[in-house]
Amino acid sequence: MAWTRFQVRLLGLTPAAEGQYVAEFRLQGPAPDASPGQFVQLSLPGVFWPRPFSLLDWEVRDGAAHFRILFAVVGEGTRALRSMSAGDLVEGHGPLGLGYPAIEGPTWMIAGGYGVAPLLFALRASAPGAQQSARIFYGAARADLLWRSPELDRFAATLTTMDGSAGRRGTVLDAVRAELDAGGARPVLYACGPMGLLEAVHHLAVERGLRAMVSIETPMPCGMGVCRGCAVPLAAAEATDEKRYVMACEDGPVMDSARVDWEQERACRI
Amino acid sequence: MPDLAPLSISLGPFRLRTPVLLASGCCGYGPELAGCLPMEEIGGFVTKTVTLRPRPGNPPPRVRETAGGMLNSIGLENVGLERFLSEKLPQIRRLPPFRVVSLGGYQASDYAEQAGRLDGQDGFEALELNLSCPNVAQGGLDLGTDPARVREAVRAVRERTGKFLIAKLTPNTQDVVALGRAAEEGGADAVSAINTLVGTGVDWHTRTAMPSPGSGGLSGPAIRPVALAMVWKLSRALQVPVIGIGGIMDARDVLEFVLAGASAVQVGTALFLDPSGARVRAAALRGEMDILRVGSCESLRGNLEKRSTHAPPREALR
Repeated sequence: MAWTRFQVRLLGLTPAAEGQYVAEFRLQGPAPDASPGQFVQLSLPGVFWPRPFSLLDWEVRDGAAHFRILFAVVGEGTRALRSMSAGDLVEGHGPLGLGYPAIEGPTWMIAGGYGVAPLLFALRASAPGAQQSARIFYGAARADLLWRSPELDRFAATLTTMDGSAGRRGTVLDAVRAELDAGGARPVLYACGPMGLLEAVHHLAVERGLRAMVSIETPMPCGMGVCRGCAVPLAAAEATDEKRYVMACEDGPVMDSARVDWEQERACRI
Repeated sequence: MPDLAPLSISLGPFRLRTPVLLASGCCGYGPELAGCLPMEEIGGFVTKTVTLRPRPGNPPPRVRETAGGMLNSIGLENVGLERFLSEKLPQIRRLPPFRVVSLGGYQASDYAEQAGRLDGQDGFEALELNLSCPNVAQGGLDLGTDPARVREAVRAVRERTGKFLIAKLTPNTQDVVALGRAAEEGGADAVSAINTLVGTGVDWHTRTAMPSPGSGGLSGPAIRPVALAMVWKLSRALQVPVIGIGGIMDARDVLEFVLAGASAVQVGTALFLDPSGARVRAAALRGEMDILRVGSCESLRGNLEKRSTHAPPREALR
């Protein structure tokens, strides 16, 4: 079973950081598997489209799938989710999309804000050996915007804030850059965060000859490649007259940053 | 599955399992949704629009959420006729009827050429002409808004095909009936209405018009009353059957269009919200018919009446 149409029960909402929450759901009925970087579409009250949420985890226990998402209240959909109560039912479908590849060798994870969710999932889901070869860098503007998950200590996360109120002062990419300069590491980069961060990760990867896997965020009406709404411009190397775009939902959301024409993407960004 | 007999409805020479077809552009080429939406529980589907040559589609942002609907400007992204024939049609052939191939073009000859190439093929029952895709209009000329050009395009296709021929009409017109009559005169076996309405959204962060061309096609429940008015008008004015499209979200909406005279309906944008189509499948339709005491879809068709302006005598109300 690749994905399923489901009804989920909200088990609870927990404050995670300023304006950010962890929502936990239990899926009623048979559950497929999910992998890190995949997402679910949730139909929230009062908004027309379902909203895509990257999975923070997904596990089947007592015969039912349980999953959590980390979200920031940024618009009508997330405001509606914030106002829901434990016990409320939500319709949706998933898990959808292509996630992060399994960790093989040195992997550095770069999280901007609530983009930390799928990266923690990827770390948690990987074998102990792979976890040893991975590092996570997690940045936000201020300390109160960082989600202090207990897992950050477990994975020895490097924290950054723009104002220095927690961790290192500067951007998350400053920290990555400094660490790359300090040692001879040649990691694969996994990133999730605002599109501007992903673009910067791409440029860093090009500059250092590294591979970067980034998780694209864009409105997705259907989430499964049918509406063709979430187009991402393809880099010149891959684009043809017939094919100039890939869909963030079915060709991603996680894709090699080299596939994206970032200049065009920036011009189209909303 | 519930007893389908009360749901079945005639469309020209065809008997559809239910009045519900999946609309063009909202179910891929058909097989994409077949895994989650059992095709036996609906009437059929219409493929995304195919053009002579492949089209990469429009740059993002292609979509915009609106109150009760959405704007899109996908730009007829499709694989083109060659790949449609070699890759998509063999998959469509394995799905149950009623299967409709949607054709797009810039001029009558584009539609005719494609219809000719498809005429000898089996695996589908009908063609739908997408006569109006505002997102790809060239030089502001939209073939579908001009009755003479509609007649010409339909006639050109009619000469090349024996397939059941549906003309999809634009609502971006003063007189949808004139477009319907033109299609009928050109030899259409049915008309479908409505395509999307032209609309513009505003992205306040960038102060840019949405979607990317500056406007797009509005769909969803916001347009349903417009669609109902046009379907009702068309069904009374034309001899050929009318297929109703526009913001259908659930079984009740389906029955409203049938009551307004539609021989079948198409469900589009609702599939983005729920790709399993649960609210318009046979069981949902049957349940709603029981609630509304509708014996059969066929018996409901075209019974929508205007309210009398004269009060009935009191005893008549009992």
